[in-house]
Amino acid sequence: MKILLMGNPNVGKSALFSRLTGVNVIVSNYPGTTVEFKKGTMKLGEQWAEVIDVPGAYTLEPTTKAEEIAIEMLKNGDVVINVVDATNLERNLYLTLQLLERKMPMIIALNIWDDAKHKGIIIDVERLEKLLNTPVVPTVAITGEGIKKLVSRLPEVLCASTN
Amino acid sequence: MPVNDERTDEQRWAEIGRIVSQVQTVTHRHHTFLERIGDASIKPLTGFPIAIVVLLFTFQIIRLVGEGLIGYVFEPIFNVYTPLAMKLSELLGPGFVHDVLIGTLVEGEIDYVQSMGLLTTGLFVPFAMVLPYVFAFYLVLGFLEDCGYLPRLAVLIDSLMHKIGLHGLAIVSFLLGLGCNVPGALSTRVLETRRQVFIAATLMAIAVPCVAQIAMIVGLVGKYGAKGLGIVLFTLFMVWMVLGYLLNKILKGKSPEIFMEIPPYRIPYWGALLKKLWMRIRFFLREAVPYVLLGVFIVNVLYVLGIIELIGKIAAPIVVGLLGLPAEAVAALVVGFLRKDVAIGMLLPLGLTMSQAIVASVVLAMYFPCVATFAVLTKELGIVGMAKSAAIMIASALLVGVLLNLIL
Repeated sequence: MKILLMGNPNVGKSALFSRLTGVNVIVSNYPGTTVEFKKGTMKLGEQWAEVIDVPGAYTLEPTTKAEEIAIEMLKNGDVVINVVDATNLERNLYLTLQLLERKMPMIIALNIWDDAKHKGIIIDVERLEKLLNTPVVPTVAITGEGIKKLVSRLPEVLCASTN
Repeated sequence: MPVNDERTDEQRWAEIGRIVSQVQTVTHRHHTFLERIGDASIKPLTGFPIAIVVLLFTFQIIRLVGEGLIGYVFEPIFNVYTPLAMKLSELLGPGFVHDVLIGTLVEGEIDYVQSMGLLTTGLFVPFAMVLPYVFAFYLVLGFLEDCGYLPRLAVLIDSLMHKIGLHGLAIVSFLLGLGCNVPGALSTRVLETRRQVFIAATLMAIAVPCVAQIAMIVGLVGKYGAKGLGIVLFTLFMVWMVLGYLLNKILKGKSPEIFMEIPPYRIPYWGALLKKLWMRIRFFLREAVPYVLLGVFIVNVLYVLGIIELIGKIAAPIVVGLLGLPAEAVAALVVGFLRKDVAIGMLLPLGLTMSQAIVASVVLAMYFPCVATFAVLTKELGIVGMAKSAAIMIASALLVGVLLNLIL
């Protein structure tokens, strides 16, 4: 079982990766911190799953070496945790749609949820979930808010992918 | 709606528009304080003064923290350790083992800077001379990274970076390179073209000394006051600009525009900041300290076998004739391939004049990357790219070294 953490640059993939696996990776507030993929493991029910922190990408058409690595990783993943910046929903949905078009089993972590609230951005999570037809969980990776719920809803997409 | 098959760009954006209009509402609010600073640090009129203040502050804090740690923590620790090392020295008595572990005694005492033993200089250099500055540097860098200043600096400095064939984003790689060239070189992957990666990596290896190296240059040149250190850093900065300008003119192709989003300013989360600092310190302790010890060991072996003397004789025309350095300085150039901080440490006992110390520091910084950086560069640039880059390194190091020797 391979879980890929994907999403635009600087949305908090590495922070979420640290939360899920306990593996320490460098996290910063600028796009392009992660240029290599990093592996870790997490316990999912009875079994261990491999979690991979993938460099950020805006689209599935690569323009830099870091993005090439990201897209190469996609071939080997079983399920994607798509990390979406809640303060930049519109831009982040582009990669989301591309991933959905490839029929990747996916759960969305609607990250930086705290900042979105501060900025007065209100997102109807249930509605978004219905429109995209895939689970959406608001998270704050840096503090750990919402991570438990994200993990508890992972099996929903896993079942869908095996059927 | 069910999502099928691949769509065109336009269809995707139309779909995104439909989704966003249904799920997102944005309420009105005023600019926050952080957003006002955010705007001010990008506009040239206010941005450049802010950048200068930030850099001066950074420099001062690194100095203050680094010197403070050395003076109040590490030197006292080594003062306690000295009697133990002296006891061991007596126990061992003269011989090869003593020379490797303790080194040569200076007037019957251990001199941590000159003795060159594994348990003396081998510990003192990484822990009491380099680690304090590594700590101080990454403390400040981590703060700048997490608050979101770096992308703003990138935008501000963009037009300058275009003159050397890059764009603003590359400044982040150079700043990382100041900590250690290895992550610095890796981070050039975010640049769009092979040309940019080549220019950025080559300039980094030549003109961006890592903090370990700078700490030792401070030790070597610093005793002549701020002037010597100033000349070294200014020379490297000029090399960075001029060489970048030339590479941009000579290499085919051109560099794309900067395309980068600016994250909002965030107040760093202290837990994450400290964790990152600890990870980087651990990286230094695990990856660098063993090489320092290996470097000191190899120095000893090479001296005992007489190899240093041999290379010294062969390289004397260049080192003594052209660069005006003593023949013993060749040993530093050999060890510099392994660890540059050890190499500069080897120059300390030579009693160099100020101009010799400056020439040696600049040449050591430029002539070739350390082995860890070399491995990463070869991976990123390919063997041919690395060979080209290395030719530029050696040629420019010689040229600048000879020029400095003539001027100073």
